[in-house]
Amino acid sequence: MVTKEIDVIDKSEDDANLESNMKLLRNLRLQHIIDINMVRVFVIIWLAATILAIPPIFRPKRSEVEKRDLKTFPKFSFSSLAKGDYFDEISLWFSDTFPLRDGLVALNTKMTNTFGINTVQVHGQIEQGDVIPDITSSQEVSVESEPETQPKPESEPETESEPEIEEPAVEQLGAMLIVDNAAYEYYNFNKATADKYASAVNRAAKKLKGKAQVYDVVIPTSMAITLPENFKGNTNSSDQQKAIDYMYSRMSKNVTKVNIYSTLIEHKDEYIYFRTDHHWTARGAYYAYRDLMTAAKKTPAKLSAFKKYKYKGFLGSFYAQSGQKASLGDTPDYVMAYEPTQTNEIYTRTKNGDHSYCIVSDGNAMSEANKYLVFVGGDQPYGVMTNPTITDDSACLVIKESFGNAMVPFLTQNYRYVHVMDYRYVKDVYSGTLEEFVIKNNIQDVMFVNNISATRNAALVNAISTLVGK
Amino acid sequence: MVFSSLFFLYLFLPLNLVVYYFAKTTKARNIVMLIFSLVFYAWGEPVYVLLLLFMALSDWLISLFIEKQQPHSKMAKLGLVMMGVVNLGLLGFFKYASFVLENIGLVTGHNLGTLNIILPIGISFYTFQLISYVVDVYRGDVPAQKNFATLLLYVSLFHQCIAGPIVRYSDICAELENRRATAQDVADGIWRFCFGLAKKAILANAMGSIADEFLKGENLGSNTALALWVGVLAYSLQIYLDFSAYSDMAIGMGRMIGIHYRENFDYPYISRSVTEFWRRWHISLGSFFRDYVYIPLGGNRKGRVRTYINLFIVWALTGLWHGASWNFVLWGLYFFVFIFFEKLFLSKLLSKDRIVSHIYLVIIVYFGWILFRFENMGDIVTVLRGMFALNGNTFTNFETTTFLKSNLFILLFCIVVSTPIVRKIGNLVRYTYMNNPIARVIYSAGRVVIPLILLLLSTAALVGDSYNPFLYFQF
Repeated sequence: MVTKEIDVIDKSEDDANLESNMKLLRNLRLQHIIDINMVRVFVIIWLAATILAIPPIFRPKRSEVEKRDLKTFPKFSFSSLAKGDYFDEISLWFSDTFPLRDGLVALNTKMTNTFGINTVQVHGQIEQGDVIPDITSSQEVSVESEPETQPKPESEPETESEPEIEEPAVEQLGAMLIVDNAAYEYYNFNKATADKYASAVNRAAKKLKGKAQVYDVVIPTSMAITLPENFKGNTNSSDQQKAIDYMYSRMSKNVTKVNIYSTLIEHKDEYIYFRTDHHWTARGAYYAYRDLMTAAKKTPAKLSAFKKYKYKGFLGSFYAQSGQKASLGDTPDYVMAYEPTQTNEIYTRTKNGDHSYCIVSDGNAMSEANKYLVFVGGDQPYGVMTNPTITDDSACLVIKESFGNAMVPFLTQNYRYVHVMDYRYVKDVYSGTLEEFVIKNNIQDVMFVNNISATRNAALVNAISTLVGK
Repeated sequence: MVFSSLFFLYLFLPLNLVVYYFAKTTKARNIVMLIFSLVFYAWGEPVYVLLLLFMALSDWLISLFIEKQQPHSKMAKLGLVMMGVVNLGLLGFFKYASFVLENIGLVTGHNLGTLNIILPIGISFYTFQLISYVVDVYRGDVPAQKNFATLLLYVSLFHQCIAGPIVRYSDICAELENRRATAQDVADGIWRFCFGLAKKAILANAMGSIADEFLKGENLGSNTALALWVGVLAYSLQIYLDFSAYSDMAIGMGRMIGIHYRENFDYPYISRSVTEFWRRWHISLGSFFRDYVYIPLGGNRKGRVRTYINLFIVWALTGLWHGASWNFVLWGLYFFVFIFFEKLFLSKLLSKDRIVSHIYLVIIVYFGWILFRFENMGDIVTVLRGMFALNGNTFTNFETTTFLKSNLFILLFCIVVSTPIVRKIGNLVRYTYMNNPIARVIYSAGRVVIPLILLLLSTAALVGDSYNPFLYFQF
């Protein structure tokens, strides 16, 4: 291109042409000056950035935003060298501890927010929920009057006939919706599983009639409660209120049904669900406890009666599931934990023997992803808490999955003995029947405390059903 | 090591350039480039770097041997055969052995076990460079390189060793011996590199995450039709942006030190026939197959039937080059079918209408990427059915719409970037600046600031984005 233009200059003869060619030449010179300066500016800034980027002193060791320790420089070994891992680790260390990491992450978030209309995001594949049957009053009455002869739902027989199938009873996080800095798990109603859940609770009430009162608490998830109003109804998520009402309608009058849905709605502007984790907070659990105690005709303790702990920097399952979405990661949750003043011990029984945990452990010692484990030592198969200041022999049994963990500490205020079973694992440490357990431990109140996602999970409901017995 | 990593951007490349500019002679500079290139390669493949060295050494010796023989003599041909055995043998072993065993097993019913061979990075690229070099020596197109280090530099040069372009020795041999980078070279090189970097780190990765979300495997049958259509669109954009970005960065880094690589992509998506598409897409691969397979087979000089057979071979091999799996072969032959019809009668029809011919090409390439993406035939059928809501899936839902919305602007932007519009706007500013003082200011400021902004945004994207796989590494 350069030579072409100079050729033109050489050949041009008339003045007008010459003038325009002089202009071209000036422009070429100008282009050259611009280029030289462009290279200078770029190289200076690039080298400055490089020089600042290399020395370890400018490198962060911890990300404040992500609340985690960043990678450390790898240790040398010949085997990792030969596999290429050593160099990979160095590259990882280099990028993980890049100077101004948090600022650059924030810049990237700002940039990606311009990629589209970005306040709402969906992660994962959503399963279609079943239609939730309307509750007719006649149906309710018929169920209540003859709970034992419940007609089996049409679609049930196959699952019902083989409940003992050893599916691992694991909680699985379904698809989720992210609105701004909070995530919500999708819920798809499954009629057969919901019916089976209700019938398991009914069987428990029947077996324990005259021995203990059965309570049932189905906990809605944040999708139904704290999701901003303008999204409710738009999503492909089943109506949780309707689903809970349906399940309760399938339960006999011997079961005390504690409907916490409206209570949680009343408090939906409070911090009752985590934004980055699928669990509820201890505050959410407290409101459920209050309703439960009211239903049990006991006086709920005040929240101020507990020792309060606040553990910051919790990035739970939603955050992990989202692939560490910056909108969640930028604003971690905190865990408020309420410790009973009378005791902070829970004796647990595990496959590997007995072990004592704190009712509220030190959350600062836990990694950012695991802070929900502050409650009752996490998901232990069985545990019991004793409140020495209560002198009667009041005792309750809570049958729960992880949602219950945040709630059971409150019960120590109303019962001398709070027994806690995680129905998923209790078979590892207890082989007797539920009935025997209740009699042996002189339990007056048996409480099923289950989140609604568990009631659509066939493996979990099978585990509950197995614990209750035929 | 990949170009779009912070380690490369803020340690390897600047260090390389600084040392390079302190070395004053081309000879010293070549040593610098060679050392850096071997480190670059060894960084990911500390063992396979020996394979690279071995292949370069063999081909160097063979090329010297061939040059000593009478042109086209039996001995020269023997050299050529040796070269083929070494290069194709090693490429075949490392890339295709497992595939061949698996298929023999399927055909004979005897399970021959599996080989656990990890594909050496870039082997498909550097093997082809070596083949083209030795064949060129055999043909007398270039003199054999006397200096092993220079030949090794040609194949191992980190700009293009692991992901192309497939540079011809004849294109850069003069610049390997003697080169000078002008200010314009360096400025253009920086400019080009930064655009390539941003194309990869920001755009291609964004398209990749859309494609992964909408085409994810576990529930392929229930993905909504809209998700599948948009997913394939995003994948089409990703694969172009990703791969051409790699070539942009290679070309840019070459310019910075005064080596001029040929263009590898020329806005392929604006093509109006499959024939044209393959002249614009991965140009260095297409021209390799043209010069070293199609023409030696007789090209179109041996009659119609032979021409079509030759084309069939070229396209089957082109497909197979992209990966040791039948879907890639199918993908190559898919293009063969259209090229066949274009040669027969279609090009005449297509040349009549610019718009219809463009739509024709876009549709063919678009569906071609489905064959390219899914290795499993069942998945390909599921996706095609799902696109027309034949899997019992719906057209869209809140969730698909939401995800599409949150990526709508970047998707449209990437479509625009795949056309020459951005370059045309740039040229408009560039050529009006000569006479217009305001345009001059805009141009000057842009020339200085734009690469810096792109570098900053790419850095942020790389820091913030754990999602950073390089698609073409498997080839």
